[in-house]
Amino acid sequence: MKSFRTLLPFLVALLVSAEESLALELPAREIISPGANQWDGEVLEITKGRGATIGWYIEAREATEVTVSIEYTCTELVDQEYHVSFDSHIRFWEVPVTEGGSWSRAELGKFQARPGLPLLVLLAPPSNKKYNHALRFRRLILESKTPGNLALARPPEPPATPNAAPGFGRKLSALHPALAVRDLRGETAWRISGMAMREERELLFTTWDGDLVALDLKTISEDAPPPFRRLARGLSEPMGLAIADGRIFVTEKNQATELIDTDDDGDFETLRCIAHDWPATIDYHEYLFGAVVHDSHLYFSNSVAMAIRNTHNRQAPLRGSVLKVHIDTGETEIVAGGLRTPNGIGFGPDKSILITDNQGEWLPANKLVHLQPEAFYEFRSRPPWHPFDQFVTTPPAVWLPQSEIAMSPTEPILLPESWGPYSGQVIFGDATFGGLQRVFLEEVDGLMQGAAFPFSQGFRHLFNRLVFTSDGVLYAGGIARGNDREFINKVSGLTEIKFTGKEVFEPLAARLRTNGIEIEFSQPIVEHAGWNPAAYFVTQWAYQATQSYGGQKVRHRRSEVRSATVSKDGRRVFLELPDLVENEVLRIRLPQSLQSTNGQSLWAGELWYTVNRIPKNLSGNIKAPPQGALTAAEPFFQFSGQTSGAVLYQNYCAACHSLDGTKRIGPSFQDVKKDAAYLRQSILEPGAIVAEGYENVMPPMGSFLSEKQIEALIEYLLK
Amino acid sequence: MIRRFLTFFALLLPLLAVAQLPYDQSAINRYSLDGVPRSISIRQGADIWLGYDLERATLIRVWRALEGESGLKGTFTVKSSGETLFGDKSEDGWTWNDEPVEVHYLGCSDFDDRFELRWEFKNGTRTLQLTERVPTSKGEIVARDLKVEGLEKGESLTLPAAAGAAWKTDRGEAAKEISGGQWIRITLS
Repeated sequence: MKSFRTLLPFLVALLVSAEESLALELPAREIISPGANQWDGEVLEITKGRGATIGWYIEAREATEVTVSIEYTCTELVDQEYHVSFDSHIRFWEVPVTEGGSWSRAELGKFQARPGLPLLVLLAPPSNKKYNHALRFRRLILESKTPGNLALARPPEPPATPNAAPGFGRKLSALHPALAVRDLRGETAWRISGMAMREERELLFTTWDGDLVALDLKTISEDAPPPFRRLARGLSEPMGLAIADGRIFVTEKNQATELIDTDDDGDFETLRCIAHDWPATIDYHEYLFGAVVHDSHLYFSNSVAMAIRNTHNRQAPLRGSVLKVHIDTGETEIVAGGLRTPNGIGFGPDKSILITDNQGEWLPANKLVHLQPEAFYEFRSRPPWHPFDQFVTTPPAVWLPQSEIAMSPTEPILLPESWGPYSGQVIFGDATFGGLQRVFLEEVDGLMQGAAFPFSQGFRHLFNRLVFTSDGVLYAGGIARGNDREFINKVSGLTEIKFTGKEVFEPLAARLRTNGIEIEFSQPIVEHAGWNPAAYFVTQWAYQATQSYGGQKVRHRRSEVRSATVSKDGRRVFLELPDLVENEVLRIRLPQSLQSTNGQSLWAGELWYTVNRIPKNLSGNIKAPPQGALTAAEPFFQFSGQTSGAVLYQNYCAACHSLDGTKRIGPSFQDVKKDAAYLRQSILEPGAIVAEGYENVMPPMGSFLSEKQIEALIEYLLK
Repeated sequence: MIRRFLTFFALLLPLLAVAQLPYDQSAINRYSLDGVPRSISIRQGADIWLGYDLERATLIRVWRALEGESGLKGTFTVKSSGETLFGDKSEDGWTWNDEPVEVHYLGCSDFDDRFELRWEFKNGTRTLQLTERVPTSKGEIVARDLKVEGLEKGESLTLPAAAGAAWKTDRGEAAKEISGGQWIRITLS
């Protein structure tokens, strides 16, 4: 009897383990996407860092600590660490070489699992590296202290996409009805890299080629090219220009500079180096981006190197920082870190400073960042880390999903009072996606967050820098890379943009509530419309940054819209969303059929809201709909699936690859092989075959397109 | 004829205005030179180039461009091209009272007849200012003018070793050190 009692716990444990294991295996065969890496039976041979999503979704019944291990072989030293991400908590793994190619098991780290929504576990190889020896692995093993606590979950099926039209799931294709533009292209195609007003009538801009150019705005006539005057030259790749009290400041490649005309003859013969107290290399991509002066300090960002990604991948210290330099003493302070290609800095509401950053390594999507002291925005390369690096990072104010609302966001600028309903909001340009996008910002629980809206396309060129005159006229400068003059002429230049005050029906703002989101419209919506929750197609997802390029949407799913309540004045609709989750993005599609009381259709019907925090005790009002308000003559959204390839092409490819032979950054699809295997390889591994006459600047798309999307895209391109 | 001449002259005017601006890249190039991120290349006369490491306040190379060729190759990062007249690949820097100095680059000016570079040198709480002028007009010799301000009487500032050995003062002595707050011309021997 005594011996049975002794054995009892053991027997119980044995029975439990027979049914519910403490360990969960994550087989290599079950990963989300191998990218350009190869399978060998049950084993994945990782030789390429970019384009793969080596990850699994799991579920946990209860909160518990989980130990993650890997079964692998690696016969030669991997010179950079792998990155392991468990529900956004990260560890780095220095890969030990295994003896004679034998299988080995290594612990990757201990993490905290939580119940609720599925967790994503990711193994991210060193970015962009190509190895001639593989890291071979066949499974990850997750051990929990509670039997049966963990289970492998199927990757969530992304929601079906409603049929799209410009401004409704597809990039806008025309000029906003309330804008009037004038093309100020001169005989020279200026590649504009910085803009500022010197006085009320004098616009100054710098060019990538090193010029400082002036334009007296009162001398522009309709029948002659604008009278540009070159004031200075020989600047070293300036990417920002600011003017304060008549003093001119330029952020050049490696230094912050004040331009001085000592003898007052109009020529800037003196370049005062205000500061250059941060390390630099000769990497082509190390720029100082943007320039704003605030409280006698010049603020700008220094971008990270790119050419090194295929070699040692070590950044010079302090790259990716926001720096502030006193304009008189040159005293330099690091304000924040963790940026990648922050090609835009500008003022937001209440003198806040906003920065845009471009999707890539550690950025699964583009960002609009609210600058906060000592914040770390997540870009890393490898140790030594940035002094502000911390594993709990500062989220962006607004995520700008790749190819949906941005691709290479540029300078943000606050809209002045003269822009009527948009006053106090922010717009920004894009050096690839084109056009202007609009952002509404609000503060929730001390954090800035808000919504991005498509605003306008239909301009002659892309916008890199923006500046307002005191009377609210916007000047927008474009830039182009490379040496192809034809291409540069096409996408560079200067445009004048005026707000005409014309009333346009569109979603104006979006404010988060405890139980949903309130959308404000620019005009009242027609009576009895807007009450039907089926009229709002809402999806939501999170992002999980890794050292690999880009990233897929995490837990991408359709959201329940439980009710819709229209305000008395018809200008606001409150959508009750019972499944709001912090640190996720909401994408809201409105139906094209929605009309205003004066009979206007929506200009654009889409927004992306970043939920950093859900406000407490700030519930939206829910009311019963008036009689007959829920009936709809036809469904608000169609799901034919026929346009998905076309939309993917428009959103992801069209900026660089035409269909009709027109020359863009990359070759036209008319000039490439009409072959599914070739197209697939080009999508997954763009560097494998580079068309003659073009540089490989395309990222592998496998990290942010699902297999289904890749198939739809290829099918469309083959047609 | 006169009309044609006037048209020609009118077309030429903007070009002349451009040519008068400082920092003409065919004479002053501020892109990184020979792998040194913060550097500058200054042309003296028609074909002599002086290349500086601005972070260290040192002259890294003097070279003569090959006949009919530019002394610089490349676009946003340039490489010196031509016959080397002076080179310093050492890590040697300026010293003050036998101690290395902390160097801060202050900026540059492009005047009609010369190019000027300025640095601040720190040692403890004391600071010096070094100004270097490169005459840009064609001369018989490769020349630089140096002036240091802030030294006390009897003190001197020592040039990097390679420069001290290769450059001479107007008295024909090795330009090992400078002092006195006066302009000192040194030439390549």
